[in-house]
Amino acid sequence: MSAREGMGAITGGSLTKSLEVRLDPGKSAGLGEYLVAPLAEGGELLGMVTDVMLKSAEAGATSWPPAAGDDPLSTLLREVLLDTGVYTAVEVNPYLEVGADGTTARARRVPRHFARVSRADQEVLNRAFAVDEERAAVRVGTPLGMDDVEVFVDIEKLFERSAGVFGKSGTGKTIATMQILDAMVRNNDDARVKKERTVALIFDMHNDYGVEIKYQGEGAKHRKSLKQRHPSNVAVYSLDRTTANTDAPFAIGTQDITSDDIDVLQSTGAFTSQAIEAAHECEDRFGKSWIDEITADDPSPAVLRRTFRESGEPDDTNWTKVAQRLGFHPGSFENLRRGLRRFTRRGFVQSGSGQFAGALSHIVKTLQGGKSVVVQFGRFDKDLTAYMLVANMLSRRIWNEYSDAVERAHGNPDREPNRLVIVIEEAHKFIDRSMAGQSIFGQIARELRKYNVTLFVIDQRPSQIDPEVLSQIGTKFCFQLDSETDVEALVGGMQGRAGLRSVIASLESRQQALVFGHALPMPVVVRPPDLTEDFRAGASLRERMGAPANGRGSGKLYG
Amino acid sequence: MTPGPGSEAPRVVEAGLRSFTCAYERYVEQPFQLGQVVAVREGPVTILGCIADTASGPEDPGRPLQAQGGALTAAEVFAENPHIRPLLRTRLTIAACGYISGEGALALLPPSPPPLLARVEPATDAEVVHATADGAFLALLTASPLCDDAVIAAAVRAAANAHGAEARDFTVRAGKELARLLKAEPARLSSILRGVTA
Repeated sequence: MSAREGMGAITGGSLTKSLEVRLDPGKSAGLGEYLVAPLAEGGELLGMVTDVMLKSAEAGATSWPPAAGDDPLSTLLREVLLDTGVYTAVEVNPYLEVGADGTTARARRVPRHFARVSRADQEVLNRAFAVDEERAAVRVGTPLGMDDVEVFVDIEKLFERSAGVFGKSGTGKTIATMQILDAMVRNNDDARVKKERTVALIFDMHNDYGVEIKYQGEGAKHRKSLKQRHPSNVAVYSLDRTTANTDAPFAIGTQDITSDDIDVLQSTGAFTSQAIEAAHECEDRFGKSWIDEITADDPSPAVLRRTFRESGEPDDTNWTKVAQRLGFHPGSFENLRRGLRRFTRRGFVQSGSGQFAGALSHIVKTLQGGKSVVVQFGRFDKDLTAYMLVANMLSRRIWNEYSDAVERAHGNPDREPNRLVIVIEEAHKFIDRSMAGQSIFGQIARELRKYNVTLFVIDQRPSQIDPEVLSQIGTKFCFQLDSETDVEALVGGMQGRAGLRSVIASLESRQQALVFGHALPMPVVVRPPDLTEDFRAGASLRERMGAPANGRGSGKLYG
Repeated sequence: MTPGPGSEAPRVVEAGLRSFTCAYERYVEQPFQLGQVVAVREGPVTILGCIADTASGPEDPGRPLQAQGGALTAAEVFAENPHIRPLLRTRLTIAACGYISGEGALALLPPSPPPLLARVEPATDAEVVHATADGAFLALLTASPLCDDAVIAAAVRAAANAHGAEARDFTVRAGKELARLLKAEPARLSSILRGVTA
């Protein structure tokens, strides 16, 4: 065991909240750093610094602080009071008990008073994070204060449950997401059969995960994205026919859109709840061509016939009469028609059945064949309504395909489809409190692994996501968030959540994240790797088996 | 006139565990200084003490000293009246601040008081450094009713002198010990440190 740097002594605290460690004179520790203390019964307790406090032994020293001058008395008084009358302490959230034999368990005991606390070193972290060189992993960054250590997260464990990347705009969410997906796709190279491949269906609103990703660091403003990195393992579809370097264009026919698909657009499409109800009624009454019918200038004979079949058609027929006959306020009906017309003017929506079914079938085959799919939005990159419609439509149908396939497999794992990860941005728009019931994503999050489909959400406002759905997200990558409600939404229910809140609040505005949850034994604050030209997010099994252990002299931690 | 190690050395005339009094055989103008660390080496252990007070006056309280000499200085009056000096005494009150037994210096009360009439001598720099290095001696001084802020400040100053080049480090260390001892008395701490830096 290497000599550890002594930091201080336990002076109080509790298991469920945090331990207080009085630092030795001259020592300092930052938020997110790991400290370790021996347990009286054997083994060690590993925890993370979640607060740094300036304390005074008695009120006097701080009530009458030394003068600010540099005269001998003031200078001496300041020097004398430091680490005596006033001192620095840190709060440490206890997370793991680490046994000498390498076993780890959730912390259930605390060290005795005055137990010596040291800075965690590579050796104890290796034991805590259970180094496993045989498993595929994604590099998520370097823990704070430990520049020579890298944290890896087990890819399989990461996507066993849904995962999420959260943070306000410009904090590095997209780069982190790309790196994780890159590692996932790379890992597929080692799969012996297609079924072992975990594939992603990425709804790429801002065109970052296809060919190129926008980059704000030094040098070129773009970096290679998934398609360039893994040309044979990634297919790109685009709603924008003018987008270059795609595998196929993608269009939706008006007859492919059901009223269920319109449900999720109530907010973004500015539909009233009455208009949504009217959409369901129209689909029931007018069949698959309901959108074409009600976006026409005047009601067609077929519409009139199906609307007035019992009472007979009135002399002057118009949409107002149709709405009244169907039992809707003409204003609401007009709201629906206006919204749908606005919608059908988009270039990727075609009248009739379009090519959606063919594209859908192709995408499902591509996914089940072991390739990831990126659906890009091209010039529709700022059109949230388009994004929500397409993501919801595709996901609903692919989910159905997957759940059918799993049901057909009758529990035979060899016949079940490979694991699918659906990547959505602006997730709170799909799965907010009011929408989680209608959106397919709420169902996917809740059903978890049952159908081999999980979610990977990227979002700025986690507090807007339905709490039930959010609680199903296993591993969270949390970049800086400003809103307290957003932070609370992520750490609510976690052990030591007060400390985690302060850690998140202290994250720098770029390239710093708190990673915690299912795939990691304990939270870790990391500085994610930069997206350099030769960046490699993870290491495939084959590569790592060929490489010397702990190559380049740096330590590796695996979650 | 500075008392030397010879016959001029004061002797213990009253002894207790916490404090003792010593007197010169006559009046001396420059006795041991306030705060100076002194040693009584006669006895099973060497007892260290800190000068807490000094007083000079007639040996017999019934024969008070009369003011005399007109325009003469004190030295000239004593020179012209050599019979006066033997009638006067200089007494020192000393607070115990530790003892040396064998190789170790302990910042504790001595196991027994110093012997009466034992000679009181200045502690050597090595003894002072040995006995004061960790500042623990200040616990006895701050607890002694004989030692007010001025005495403690003088004791720290005197001990710092013995530490030579390490005087500043010692002063900070002693100050930190005082900050711990006086954590509820910030005004007193400031007062002592003011005396230390004066």
